[in-house]
Amino acid sequence: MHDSSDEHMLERILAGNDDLAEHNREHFDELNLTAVNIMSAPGAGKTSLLECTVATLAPKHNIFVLEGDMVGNLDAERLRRVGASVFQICTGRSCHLDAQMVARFLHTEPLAGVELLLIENVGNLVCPADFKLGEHKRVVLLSVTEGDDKPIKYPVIFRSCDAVVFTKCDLLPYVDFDIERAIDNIRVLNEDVETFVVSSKDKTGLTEWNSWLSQKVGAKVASLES
Amino acid sequence: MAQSILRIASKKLASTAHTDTVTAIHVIIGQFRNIDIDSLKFAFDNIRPMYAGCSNCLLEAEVIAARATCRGCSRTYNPDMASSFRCPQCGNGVGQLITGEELDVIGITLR
Repeated sequence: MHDSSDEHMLERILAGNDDLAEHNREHFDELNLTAVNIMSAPGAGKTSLLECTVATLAPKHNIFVLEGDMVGNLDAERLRRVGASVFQICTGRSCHLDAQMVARFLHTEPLAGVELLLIENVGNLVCPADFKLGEHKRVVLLSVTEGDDKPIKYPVIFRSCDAVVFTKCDLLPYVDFDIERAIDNIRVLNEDVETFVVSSKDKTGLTEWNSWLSQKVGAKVASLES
Repeated sequence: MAQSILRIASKKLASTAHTDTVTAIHVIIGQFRNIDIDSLKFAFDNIRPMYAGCSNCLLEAEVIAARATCRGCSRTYNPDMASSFRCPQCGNGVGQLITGEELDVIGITLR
């Protein structure tokens, strides 16, 4: 019979992922690119927004899209059709991208000259919040068909993001979604968050969103030059 | 998450002399992590046989309540969904979270 030994310790459960995310960030910085992690529930319109974004910003910035899905490459194909360079990660049974998946991509894909890396995470409002990828900015999409109470139900992801994009806003006349209430619910958790109100279908509100992305790329270049 | 916990336990087991079994792993999980403990335990129980010495180990999880400083009146309060995370005194929002974001292994029992 062996004796038991209680080993007291304090180790962050996600330390391995966080450390690798830092490593990824170093790679991004060496490459002088801005990485943006785009997260939302399934069907909130991530791919549609990225189609519009790539179509508008590609003449201005060298863009690469990292596409995360559990299975298939339907979204990657849609983005290729608008001219995007895309790398597909299929996560299998995992409901989110993690830093190791992104690290493998970084060691596989030549990204020299890329200025903006748009990472479309797997559709999920829970797990992607906890798994850092090394991104510079975190963006959450909230479609108006989901309800303005979502920030209260999923506080972690809304507290940890830099911007929220309200999508499918062409449907606002038909759904019971109050943009001001939604913003208020988010700001209770995250005072400094930026918000955008867009419709990828009607192409409204996209100028502000694209400008915000361009500013992030520009700020990165300026910080490197200084 | 379950994989990460078991990896930490396996590493500890491998580095501790005269032990060959993990009997329990003690974790703390902040309320503001949105982690469902039953789901975590379900995943944990399903994958633990894949980790040497962990096939029968227990996951003991303690949930840590969220405590925050109100960004309006600086009062310390428990932000919760029932009050939409607002300060009960002034209705303002969450400033600094004092507790509630923990996600740590705090102990491992080895045999």
